[in-house]
Amino acid sequence: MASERDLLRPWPILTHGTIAGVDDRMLVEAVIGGDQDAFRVLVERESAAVYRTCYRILGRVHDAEDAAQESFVIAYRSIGTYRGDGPLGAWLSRIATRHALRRAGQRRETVSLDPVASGDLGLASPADPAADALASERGRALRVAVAGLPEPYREVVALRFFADLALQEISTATGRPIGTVKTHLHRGLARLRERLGNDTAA
Amino acid sequence: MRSDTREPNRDGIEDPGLQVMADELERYARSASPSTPVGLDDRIMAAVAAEPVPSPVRTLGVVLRTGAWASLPGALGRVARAAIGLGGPVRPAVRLEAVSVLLVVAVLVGGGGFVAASGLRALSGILAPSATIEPGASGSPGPSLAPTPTQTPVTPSPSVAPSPAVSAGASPDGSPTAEPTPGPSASPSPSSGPSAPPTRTPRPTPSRAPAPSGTPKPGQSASPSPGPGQTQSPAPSAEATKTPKPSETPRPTDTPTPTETPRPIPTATPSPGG
Repeated sequence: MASERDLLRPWPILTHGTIAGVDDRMLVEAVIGGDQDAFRVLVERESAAVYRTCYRILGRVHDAEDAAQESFVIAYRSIGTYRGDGPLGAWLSRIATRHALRRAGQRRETVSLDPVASGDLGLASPADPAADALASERGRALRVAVAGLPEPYREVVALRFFADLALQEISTATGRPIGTVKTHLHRGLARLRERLGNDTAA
Repeated sequence: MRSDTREPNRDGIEDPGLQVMADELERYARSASPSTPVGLDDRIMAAVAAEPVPSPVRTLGVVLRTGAWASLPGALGRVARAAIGLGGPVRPAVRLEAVSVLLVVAVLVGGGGFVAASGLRALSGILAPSATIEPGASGSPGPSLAPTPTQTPVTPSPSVAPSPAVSAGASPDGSPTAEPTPGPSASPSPSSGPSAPPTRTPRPTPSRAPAPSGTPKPGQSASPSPGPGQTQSPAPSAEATKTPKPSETPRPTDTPTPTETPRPIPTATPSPGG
């Protein structure tokens, strides 16, 4: 019964306009209390960012969808490990980033002959097939290079550029000092530059 | 929380080569921002619905299993809140689980505390005798009226045991007899032992006995250990006949003057008087 479930909600019934304003801790407590509607609020609020992160790491729509779904399932199982010392979105982004990087490391990077059919969409304007192909190839090289970085550089670079987290958010999410995060970012970028060589300037 | 529009060089990158690399990554991220597929949320919720519903107890299990010890206090707090009923309405099944886990935790903590206390008590019991033997082992004279094995009844009670003048080996039963402060066993009359049988208690005779040659100095105590056939005769003073109570500490004046020099007993530690 909807009314009974509403009574069990420790947070107010949400409308679409108030989703972004829900307190993270309250949301987590509601999920732990067994309220799946609270988790739906979380999904609606964060699915776009999680999916985007997965797509940037994996480069394919279908893979990104799977990775996003699995990331939310992982988050649902381990929701109790969220300590509330940072944004819930950053915590979710870290889960998604790690999971997508794991998937990227497991699969073999292939070049599809039909990017649209395989979900490997072009990054440039579809009006310019040559630029589209070049950008797609460059994007693939970037993804492979980032996925091939050793830890912890790989995670920091991916969180910073693929998950759009600020350095302070990365520091909170990973539990590392901000200076360490900066160092990891610089070293990761240096290794990327070594791998990608002079093509970066292009 | 997240900002899509970044300031240039926000990460403090000063190396131009690294900045070029960062700019390219940002360009790639900006271009690779597809819209969320329709129905992704429902798909995620369908996958989540197949998962077991989280609860404070299950959350605690996940924390323990994954080793996320930093989240342990929070998980325990959630269990406690669910058990007590704080923090909003809780389903009865969830509360029952939480109460059960809380009881288990309480029993574990209580049992651990009891075991630790027992262990400490056992350790202190092991260490205590060696600490009390030390004064006797050093040979320091003290108020020792240790009963000899031939005359004094063996008193296994611990109140009689501590008398430091006689080493632990002097007592036939091996009971520790080192005690700097004169206790009930330090009384001049062996009958003062609370556990001594009255039939074997030698009473001081009123007969005058010659002063012993080895009379201890005032302040010291002697160990009257007469032989089996001898009569133990303390000094013929009125105080000597006074039997102190077990709880009473005998004053130096209460120390009797033995009328007879105690014979050296090979098993006894040499006392100052003998």
